[in-house]
Amino acid sequence: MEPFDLFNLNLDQLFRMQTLVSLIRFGVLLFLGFPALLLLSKWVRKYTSQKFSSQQGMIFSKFVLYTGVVIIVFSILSELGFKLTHLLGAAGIIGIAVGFASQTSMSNIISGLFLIAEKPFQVDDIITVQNITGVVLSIDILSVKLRTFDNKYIRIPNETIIKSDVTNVTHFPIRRVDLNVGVAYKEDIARVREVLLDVAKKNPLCLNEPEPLVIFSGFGNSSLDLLLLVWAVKSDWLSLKNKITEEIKKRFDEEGIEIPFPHLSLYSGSVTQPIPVNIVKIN
Amino acid sequence: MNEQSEQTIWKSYEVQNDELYSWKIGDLKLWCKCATNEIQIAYRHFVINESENQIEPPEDIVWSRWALKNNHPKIQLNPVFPDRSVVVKPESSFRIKINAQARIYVRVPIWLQINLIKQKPIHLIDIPTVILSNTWFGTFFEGELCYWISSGVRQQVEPDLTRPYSAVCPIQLINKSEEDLLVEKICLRVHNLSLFFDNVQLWSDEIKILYKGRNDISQIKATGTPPHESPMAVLLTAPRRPVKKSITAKTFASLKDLPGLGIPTH
Repeated sequence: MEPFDLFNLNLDQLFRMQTLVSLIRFGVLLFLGFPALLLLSKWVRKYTSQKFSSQQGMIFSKFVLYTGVVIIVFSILSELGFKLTHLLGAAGIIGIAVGFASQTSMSNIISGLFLIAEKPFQVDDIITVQNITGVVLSIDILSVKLRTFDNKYIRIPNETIIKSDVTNVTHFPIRRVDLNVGVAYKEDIARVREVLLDVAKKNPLCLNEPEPLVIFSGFGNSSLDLLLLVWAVKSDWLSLKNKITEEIKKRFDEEGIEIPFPHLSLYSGSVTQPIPVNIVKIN
Repeated sequence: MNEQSEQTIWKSYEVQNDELYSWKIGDLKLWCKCATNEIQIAYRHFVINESENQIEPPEDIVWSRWALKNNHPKIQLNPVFPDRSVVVKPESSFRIKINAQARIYVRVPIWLQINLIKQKPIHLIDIPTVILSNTWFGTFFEGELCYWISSGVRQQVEPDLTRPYSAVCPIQLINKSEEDLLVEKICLRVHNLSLFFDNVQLWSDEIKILYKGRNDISQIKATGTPPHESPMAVLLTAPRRPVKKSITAKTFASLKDLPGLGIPTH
């Protein structure tokens, strides 16, 4: 059958069996195929969203929809009498050209599929990528969208994420707060340790287990350096970090524990003698 | 001003307009008053050196307010268990041999539940009588947020009139595994327990924990009846989350599971 024969108003041809069958197929593809495809795509989205995540559901349903549209369009064109071999040939050449031009996009798409399969993070997780920290808004085919804490919208290509170190701050349910505390050299380390652990024990956000720990880091230039390690559930992490530092300062003031300023001591050669100072008169 | 003692507080009260009511339960001081079509509740936990005999609420107290349909509301004070599981550690860990049993007692500070009495009780607020600290039961990867009980585990119990705000939970530990059960830390799912009162002491229903091995989760059954230490105790409060038969959950953990540094030791 030649192209556009269907639109030829020759009645003999119209009522030929073959033409009739083609008409029926064309009608079925056009008027039933597309609605059925839409329904199938919605069902795939619903099913995969329940089984996996809403992001993955959206991606699967789009894949089904676009593939189905291509199949239906090619089938319709075939029913209309177009020789698809020519079209496929042209599509192949265009595909190669588009492929070269869209290497980056294809890389992002492939990276996106790997991200979906690997699941290093999910929507609503807080991640850090190349010094950018934010809440994951969506994981799309080409990129991941973040909202920073100061409400900026950041789009990061999937290829960048696959190639970079990604820190998922909220993956595990509990997190540790590390606080560097420096006290004057005159202070008793055991007493300071006791005070720090008591402050941690009295803070209701601080978890009893994993238990708070105080580590003596070393002898600093101006202070004895200690490290207080306390744990909180991830939602309380920031509140604990804010509150416990204030509580430590308040408690140190009450106990008379000195937090020294950075300082240098000068010695003139003997620790017991002061540095000699000569006042010179200038006429 | 009406102040109630701890022994007789589990009942209903008709709150008159412009009258201030107060209750003292353990560390908790509670105030309640009623204005036109409104009920207001405030509370404070007193720490050492603060005045426990303070009758009037402090000026900086924060009032929770509910608008009502009618004046002269009636409120009911009920004891309830905390809204999360509790973790308790024996003073020293002990072992239960294969097929052996042990009976232990844990004191859990209760919460105070205030309901408005209508045709159906309307829940207003739950308040802890003692502020408990948080703890994590599980691993660094998964687990649940619980409260930490510092009162420990006892093998005998005596009614403690100085702490009527705590409920005694009798627990029967049964080792049905093929190894000794080392009891270092226990997670008690109190939201599945009922509260009973025998006019002296609050009790939970009897709890049976069947230990099936380190890699298996334990089977926990709450009988729903008063323990045999106080068979005549009367049911005051049903469980927050009733369970028909039994539940299975991780109940025992080792002290080495959660080292403070975050580095697993095994």
